[in-house]
Amino acid sequence: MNPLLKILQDDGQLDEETCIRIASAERQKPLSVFWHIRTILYLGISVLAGGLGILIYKHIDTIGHAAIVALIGLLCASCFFYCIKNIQPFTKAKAEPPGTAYDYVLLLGCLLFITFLGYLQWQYLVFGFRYGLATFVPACVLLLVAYRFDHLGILTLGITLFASWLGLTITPLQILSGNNFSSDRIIFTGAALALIFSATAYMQYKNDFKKHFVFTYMNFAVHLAGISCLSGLFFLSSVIWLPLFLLAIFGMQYYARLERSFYFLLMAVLYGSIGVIYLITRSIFIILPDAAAVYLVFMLYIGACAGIISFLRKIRKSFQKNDPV
Amino acid sequence: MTLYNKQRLINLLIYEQVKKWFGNDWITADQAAHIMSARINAYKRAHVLYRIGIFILTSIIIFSTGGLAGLISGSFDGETSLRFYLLICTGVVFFLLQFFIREKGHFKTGVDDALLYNGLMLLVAVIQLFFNHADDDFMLFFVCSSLPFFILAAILFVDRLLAVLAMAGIAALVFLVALKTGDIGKLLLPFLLMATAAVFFFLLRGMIKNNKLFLWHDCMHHAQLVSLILFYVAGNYYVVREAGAMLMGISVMPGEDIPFAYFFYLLTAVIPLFYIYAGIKTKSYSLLNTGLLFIALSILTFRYYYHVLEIEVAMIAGGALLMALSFFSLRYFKTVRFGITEERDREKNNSFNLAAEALVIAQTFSKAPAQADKGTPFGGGEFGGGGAGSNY
Repeated sequence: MNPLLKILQDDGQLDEETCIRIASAERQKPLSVFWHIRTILYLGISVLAGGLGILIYKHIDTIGHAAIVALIGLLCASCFFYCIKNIQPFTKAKAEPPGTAYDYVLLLGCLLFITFLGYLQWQYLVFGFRYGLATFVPACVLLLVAYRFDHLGILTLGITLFASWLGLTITPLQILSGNNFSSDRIIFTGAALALIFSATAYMQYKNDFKKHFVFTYMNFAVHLAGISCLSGLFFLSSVIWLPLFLLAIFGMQYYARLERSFYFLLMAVLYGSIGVIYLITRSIFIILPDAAAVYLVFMLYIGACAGIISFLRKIRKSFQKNDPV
Repeated sequence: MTLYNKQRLINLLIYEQVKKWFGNDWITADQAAHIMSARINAYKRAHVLYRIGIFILTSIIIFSTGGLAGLISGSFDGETSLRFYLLICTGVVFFLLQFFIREKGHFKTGVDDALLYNGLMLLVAVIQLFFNHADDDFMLFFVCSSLPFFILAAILFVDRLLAVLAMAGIAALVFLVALKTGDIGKLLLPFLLMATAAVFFFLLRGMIKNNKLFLWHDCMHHAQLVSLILFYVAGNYYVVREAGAMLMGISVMPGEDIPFAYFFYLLTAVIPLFYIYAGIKTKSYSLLNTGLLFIALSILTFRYYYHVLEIEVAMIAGGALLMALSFFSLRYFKTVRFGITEERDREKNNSFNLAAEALVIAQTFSKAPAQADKGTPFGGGEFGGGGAGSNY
């Protein structure tokens, strides 16, 4: 028997009948494979789409090649056909998909669409030599699909593609390794994107339009703003980037308070403290000779960290568990 | 035997358990509220991001203070003074650790985590600095000298990560000892490791069945997970072949194979299936999940040596197969079969939990307002406002 159940029974906080019922219910409770099935489905779709993508390019010079392309086009079309046939009326709120498979079929359709369009550009140059258009068009299509069919995954895919149209890699694991954040073009692009995303999020929030998309936009915006502003402080002129950095941090904590989101507050504190500590450390090393500066820097770190901890402890109480993460 | 307040820890576990029961509709809101109001003196679990943030900040404080004090006292000048300085630091860190836990009531808030992990790290380093002079047996001494402290700390501080590390340390110990014994040890290494894994799996299973140790059940489950992984990895054909090549310098000629090759092929293929079977049989997520993961690893292992299909054909076929499998399971497990259901686990349903919490809180507050006013597990808006569920 569950040891906690026994404690409760011994302390007389649960009557015996309930205890027996819970014990038997715990034994009979089936194993839920809800997430297993969805993970496998997602894996299957990614592997299939990836395999078809490789297939096209490996057989580009053979006779069966046209058939493969047609097959992919057909598969993509039938995915979209299925989704459009079962489409739900448009709503500004969150729409529930008509079935479990629906979202995944849509995802497969979109992945195949990217492959298909990429191939058309490669082979027939449908967008001519305007290579930007070959990324911009699918990004727009994906974003449209995401809004119409209410699909968070495709929205994220669309946002990522949109950023790569502007020359930025913003997948979570590659945001730092995939970009050269010491080049000023990348830094400015990042800051501009952060502005665009947060403006979009703000508009949707204000007009109560697909509010559940706001988190995704704000998440991208916060990290892009944080990383670009810090890079700006590190590598470019502090005169321009210090006000921008302060503005970004202020915006983050404003949004965190608005949404009562501890996650965004933590990000504001994190990016903010990195920037402030960096600035003070640099000023100390400029003003003082080396030996004395080291002592002062250590003391600064201790004081800053203690301050941040006590701030976080104080503020935690007023923040709910409102985060999807 | 733990440094944390046992009653508060038990109350936390009960609070979490009651939430699950309530999510499953096994107890009424009245009963839940009755239990909660009697067990208001409980630890809180910190938000995971909060915990990580505080952990990093506390670590910076520890090292900055250590660095500053070291600079002022001139301890970094000689090796002997450095050793003794680090020894003192270790003592201070552990003193602070017990102070924060006992006096300040910290429980996995990030502060105690940082003190614990950094203290252990310092302790291990100090032991090596003082005693480890062996050149060839460095690793063996390192593992032997740290393992007892890891196990002790895992018990004292009910720590999952340390339990996992301790189990990994035991595996490392067997590995290093086997290497010492020469060629026979190297040859028997897979079997020794598998035997270790099996022994500890069943040992831990016995301990989990012991209700007196229920505070450490979570730790033991995690250590068990390590033993499951070890058992598969030690018998995996790829690992055996490549590790054998590395340790004994055996290079496999074309047309030849490693000793007991078919046995290891069999293990690679059968262990994941057996895990899944046992997982379903005993309703254990850890067995089921590791089994599913290892099927993928086994397929990769075979593909590494035998290119049966072109990569794209394999991907298309595999992808289609996975999709078909999941569509089939979606329908097949609509009704409960073999104790498996396609339905979402209700006790893990977040929005449902939120509503449940709001209900329990409302009940608790209306029944025990006086108690709820002091520092409480549900106070301060930590979970409040469950009514905002329309957002998520």
